[in-house]
Amino acid sequence: MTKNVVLLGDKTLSLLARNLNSQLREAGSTWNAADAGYDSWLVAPLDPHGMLFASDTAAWAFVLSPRVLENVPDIAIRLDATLERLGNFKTPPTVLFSTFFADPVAAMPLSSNFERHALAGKLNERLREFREGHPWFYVVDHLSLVLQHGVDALYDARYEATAQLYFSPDGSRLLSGLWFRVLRSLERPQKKVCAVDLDNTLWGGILGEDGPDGLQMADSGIGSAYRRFQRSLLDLRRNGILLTACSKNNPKEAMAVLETHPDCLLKPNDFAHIELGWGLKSEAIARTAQKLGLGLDSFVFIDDSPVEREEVSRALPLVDVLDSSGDPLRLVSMLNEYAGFDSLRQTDEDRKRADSYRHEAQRSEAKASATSAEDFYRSLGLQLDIFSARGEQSGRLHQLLMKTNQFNLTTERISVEEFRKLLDDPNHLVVGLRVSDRFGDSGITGLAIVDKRRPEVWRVRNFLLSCRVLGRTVEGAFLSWLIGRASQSRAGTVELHFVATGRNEVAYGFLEASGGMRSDAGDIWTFDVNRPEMLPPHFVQIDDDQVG
Amino acid sequence: MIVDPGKFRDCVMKALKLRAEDYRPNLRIGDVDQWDSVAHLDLMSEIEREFGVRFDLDQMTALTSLPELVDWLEKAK
Repeated sequence: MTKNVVLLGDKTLSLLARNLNSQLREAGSTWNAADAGYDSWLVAPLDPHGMLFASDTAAWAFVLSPRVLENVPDIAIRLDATLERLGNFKTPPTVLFSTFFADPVAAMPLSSNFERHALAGKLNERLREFREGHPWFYVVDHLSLVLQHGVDALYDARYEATAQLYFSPDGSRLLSGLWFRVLRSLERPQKKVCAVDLDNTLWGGILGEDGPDGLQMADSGIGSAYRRFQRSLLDLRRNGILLTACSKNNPKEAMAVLETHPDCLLKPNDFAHIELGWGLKSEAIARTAQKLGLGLDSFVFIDDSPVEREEVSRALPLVDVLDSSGDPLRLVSMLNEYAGFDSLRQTDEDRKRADSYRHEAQRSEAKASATSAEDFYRSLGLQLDIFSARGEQSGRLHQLLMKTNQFNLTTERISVEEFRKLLDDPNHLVVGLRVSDRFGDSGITGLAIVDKRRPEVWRVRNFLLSCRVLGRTVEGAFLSWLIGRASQSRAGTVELHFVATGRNEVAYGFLEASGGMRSDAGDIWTFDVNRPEMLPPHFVQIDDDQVG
Repeated sequence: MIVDPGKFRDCVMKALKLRAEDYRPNLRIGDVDQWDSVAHLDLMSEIEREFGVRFDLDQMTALTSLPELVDWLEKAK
């Protein structure tokens, strides 16, 4: 099923649409781009019978040229009016809005450009503010594209004169590369883990041969390339990507470098898991995946050695293996060009993710020292907050729906637009779950979607939990709450639907132990609300005041 | 300039996203769906890159058939 993204410009965007569609089709995307034409950014949103409001339009993309700063005298007021109109929609579409930039080719560059850049900055600040409160609104960074390639590479006066295009054919190709990544990031799950080699990847040199003092990662010479790469990895971590190390090295010596080397920016705590030893790297990565409870398709692997890259590629075809062609100067641009970590928006949960894996390690230690399982669960002080999904959480909840593989009963992936429609649908109950304990707040980590069209039978379309909160009795407590809620709503039974994907055995195991009645085909598990086979463990606090 | 017919054909097919069976040396704009006014802009840009030439504004809008383009290229430089 294709869905349309309508391109709204101040200039014509027909070349962008042409390039974008050819890229999207080649990649098997469900997006189709349609140019709404010259000046459509101001006109099209006013026409309720136009293409923006057609049923197959899923996203609006405002793709503006720097000419808006020159041609629209009251641009700030126009932008405000556009945003206000968007903010008033009851069921807003996905909106993508390009950042503003000023054309530096001007009559009085020394005196006027500074002012024009300031105006663009002010408008971009307005976009950033608006994005905060509107999870369906995304900002697309044209400014970085311009800084990277320059206006001369994007613009050709001949095409503006003949065809009302700001972006020339070459420029449209570059612009299309950016918008392709943007649209793909909305339909593909983001990679979660970056597994890096150490020698000649995280630092220059080989620890076993050059010794710790011979390693290059200081801010001079070739060391500065490795240092920039380390900074980029810390950036990934800050944005919710887990870092893991995977190196053939003496464990003691390599740990000592990470712990104490004065030039090494990455410290052991920055890694969610570290594998040091002499075995196959594919096995080390598979162990890491198991340890973190993540699928191998969440992994990206970076290594300078073609032999290691080939070994991992062959043994673990789901892992994306990145190649910097052995050139440390290319490490950062390699990450920049790689789309697997792309995400238009970071949720609070993303920012917390790296820390939450450290909390999990602390939990494991507490578990090992507890005298019984119950003693351990009690000591955690688990708190579940269950809430009706509303607009501002829809981004995170949809992300969970798209990313969760293991504890996911049906792995039904639906678009963000369909998901938002469910939130407003009185026939559906969509609840989110936030989990915390004394070690930390895991954030929004669970979701249930219930179809209530038949009031006597609650049909659970999906029930899923992030693997980060499994093994703490959370899953049982969440399901028991759902059964209790069905009972309060006078439903007699709750049906959990199950679709095996080859990756959700954990969810199946939970159903088998849950006490529900299994259908012959094993695809439906039924719970009688009057005979609650399961009760929430008493050491879990549940707060559901926010369920409407 | 001597225009290599193979190079010219590849360049046209790439820019217009034409299949081999749709290519004819006497094609002009509008003859096939793929050669519309939008694709024409990509064609101009692709020919400039491949053959190291530069069209002026009038040529961009006037050179709308493959024979005209080959003629123009042969007279260029």
